[in-house]
Amino acid sequence: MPGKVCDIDIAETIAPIWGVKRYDWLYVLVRYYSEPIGWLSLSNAQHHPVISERRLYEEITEQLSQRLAVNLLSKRMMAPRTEQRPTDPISVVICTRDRTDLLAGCLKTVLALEYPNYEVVVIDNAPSSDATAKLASSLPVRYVRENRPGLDWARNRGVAEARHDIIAFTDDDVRVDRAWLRAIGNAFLDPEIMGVTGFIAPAELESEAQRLFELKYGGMGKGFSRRTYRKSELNAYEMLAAQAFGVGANMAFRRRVFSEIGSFDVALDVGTPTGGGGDLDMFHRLIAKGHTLVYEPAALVWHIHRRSQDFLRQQIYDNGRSFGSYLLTCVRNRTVGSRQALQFVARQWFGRWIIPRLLRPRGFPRRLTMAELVGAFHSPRAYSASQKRAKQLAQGQ
Amino acid sequence: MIAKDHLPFISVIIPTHNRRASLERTLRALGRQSYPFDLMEVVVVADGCQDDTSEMLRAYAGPFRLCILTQPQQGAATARNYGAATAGGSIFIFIDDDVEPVPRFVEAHVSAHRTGKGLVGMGNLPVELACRTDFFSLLLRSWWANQFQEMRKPSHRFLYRNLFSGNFSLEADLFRKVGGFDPSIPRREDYELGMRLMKADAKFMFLPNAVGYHHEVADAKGNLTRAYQEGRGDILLGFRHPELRPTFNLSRFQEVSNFRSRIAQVLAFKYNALGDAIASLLCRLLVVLERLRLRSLWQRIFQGLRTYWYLRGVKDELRTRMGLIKYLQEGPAHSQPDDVEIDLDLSQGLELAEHRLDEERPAGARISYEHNVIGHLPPQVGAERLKGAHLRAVLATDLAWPFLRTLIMKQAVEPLGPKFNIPTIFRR
Repeated sequence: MPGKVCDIDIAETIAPIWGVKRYDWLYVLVRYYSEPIGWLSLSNAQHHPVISERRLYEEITEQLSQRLAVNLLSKRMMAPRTEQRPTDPISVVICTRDRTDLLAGCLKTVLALEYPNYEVVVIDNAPSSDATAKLASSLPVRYVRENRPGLDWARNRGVAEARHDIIAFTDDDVRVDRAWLRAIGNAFLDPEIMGVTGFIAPAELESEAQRLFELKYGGMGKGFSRRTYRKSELNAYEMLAAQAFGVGANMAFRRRVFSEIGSFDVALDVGTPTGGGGDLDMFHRLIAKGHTLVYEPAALVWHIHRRSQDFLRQQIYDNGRSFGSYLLTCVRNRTVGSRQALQFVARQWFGRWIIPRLLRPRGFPRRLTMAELVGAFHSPRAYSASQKRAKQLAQGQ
Repeated sequence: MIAKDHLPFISVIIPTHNRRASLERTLRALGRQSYPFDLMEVVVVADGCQDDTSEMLRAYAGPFRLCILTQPQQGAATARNYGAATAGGSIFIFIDDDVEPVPRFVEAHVSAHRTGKGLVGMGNLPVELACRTDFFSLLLRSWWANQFQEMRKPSHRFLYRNLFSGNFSLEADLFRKVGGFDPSIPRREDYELGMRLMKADAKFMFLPNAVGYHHEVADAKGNLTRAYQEGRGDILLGFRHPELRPTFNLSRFQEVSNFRSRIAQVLAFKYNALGDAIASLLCRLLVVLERLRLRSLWQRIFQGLRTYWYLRGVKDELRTRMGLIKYLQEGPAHSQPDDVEIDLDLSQGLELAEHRLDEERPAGARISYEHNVIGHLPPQVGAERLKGAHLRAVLATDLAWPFLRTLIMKQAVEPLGPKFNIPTIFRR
């Protein structure tokens, strides 16, 4: 049941959507002055070649006018906030490993960003060929090679290589929106803000695995309302539930935060036995040390979800393993007590997430939830193996 | 006290049957009216009274003129017609003998009639159950409260069954023109009159200040007898006005799926001796359930019994289940092509739309804002035609969200468009 993903900005004209004949349904991101307002889900069971503007108009009225009303009102009431135009220079760091074709698509959008002053740094993480280096040399980007395998090694290298004080991170399987950096710059106009995460929309929903991940697992988007996270306003459980803050494919920090709370944990994330979690650990540490993080839905990127069921299963397994490793890291860093962490695992992760999904799958296959559970049980082993390896790599430096 | 000049002479008509004490309370309350007593008369029709009602009436000395009529027992409809034939007022106010009007009661009815002709004033009839908290009283109270709550809404479209003979008023001429009550339809004579008034395009109006407290004495058992009579009454009403047949709950029985209602049907139409025995057993069970305070079970059984007795009434009129099926089949088609529906575009302003409704009084309206459909006010059998006053009220309630979201979209998509300015459309 392939679905077509696209976006429309209703502040511009609503134009008909063509080329949908082979799609059963459409998932349209509706935006208003480029800010995402909500998803419009349209059925195309008759396989019409085009969705008319009349239909779009009616469906938006039907499905989204409440969100639109909220947005209209807040636009009128908070107009001054958006008047200032951000001009602070930003470094965009893209970490990649042996995925040159994906990277090429990503760089194409990154180089077309609407922002006055930014640089692009490509960190090539332990590559097995020089394809990425070749690609980078043909484009106006800075190429840096990081030989120690692990995404967080690469990210730390990116921080070291970046020239500007705001550093935005994205991945090679992402297509950034043209207004992405503007929204990030906007958020950093507030000096209190130390970190920004943004909205991640699916770039495509062609396969069943992608549909499952986006609609049944929850995808990577964290909703359409802007939220500010401060330690004083969160309880222990909310502080640990870092998956709600954002995803590493769309995040940005002020440089000085790294000297204050430390850099990315090299024992975590892709390329190590833990398989992820470095981004979550960073969000959690940032808030736990008293800084402010903001989730800004206007900072929008499009992520290509795993196309095959096998990759999806691997990813869900990695989520379980990496989330467990992230929690162990939190305990080791003493940002949270071990008892609280255990309670969190029992009540929130298992109690509110995994077990309800096993009892009532609601369209999300049980075998995938089981994969997350298995990942969770493997996480202590992965964590200790990863710690050992990180030490070796650090000594080898 | 209202200005006395040009006030009409009015008649209050009360049918009564063996309720001396209650009637006396009603008369006493009428003796405390703010309306000038020389401009009102009270006509009491004693319908086959066997208690000391007649003695009480003869001895009664009120500030108003009291006219006493008696007839052998023929029912309230005949009594009201008899009273109306004798009454000399230009406005008739009908109340029942268990209604206790407040002092401004007559005044409220009369001032409504002074606003226009051809008006039917529906009085407010709050049920007075003292402190009774038995399950039946709770049910009854909420039923009556809902009725008046609904009529109180400005968006309410009056239906023929909003006419309650316990407290309403109309011009004597209008009453004579439509021919008064039809005594051949017991228990539904008020609805039937309501229907004829609807067809005569009478203007229905709810009068929240014309309060008459309704001292209800019925109990659950009496109410079941009433359900039986209502079943018969509805069938007769449907013979008189076939277009009403689809509006009865009865039409649901054509497509039974529910197990309980099938049982009720089989018992009512085929084995009614058995059915009556079961019903009387269940009726006794109600007392036990009430003592155990099992309210929801009580309600389910009570509603089941009401359905059964209603069907029994239907059966006694139509004989067989096939008779009922034929009766429903012979009703007119639901959608009547001769109903006038208009297309109402709000983009030209609400005033214009209201004006059109008042001018054309259509049976239904399709409401839109330019090309955007907001909603449909469909033609309704036995309901008054649409009027301007319905529009704002329905846009502010039932159609509020569709209306708002259309305006929001307009505002968002064409923020500078001159036509779509939210403030101007709400400006009076």
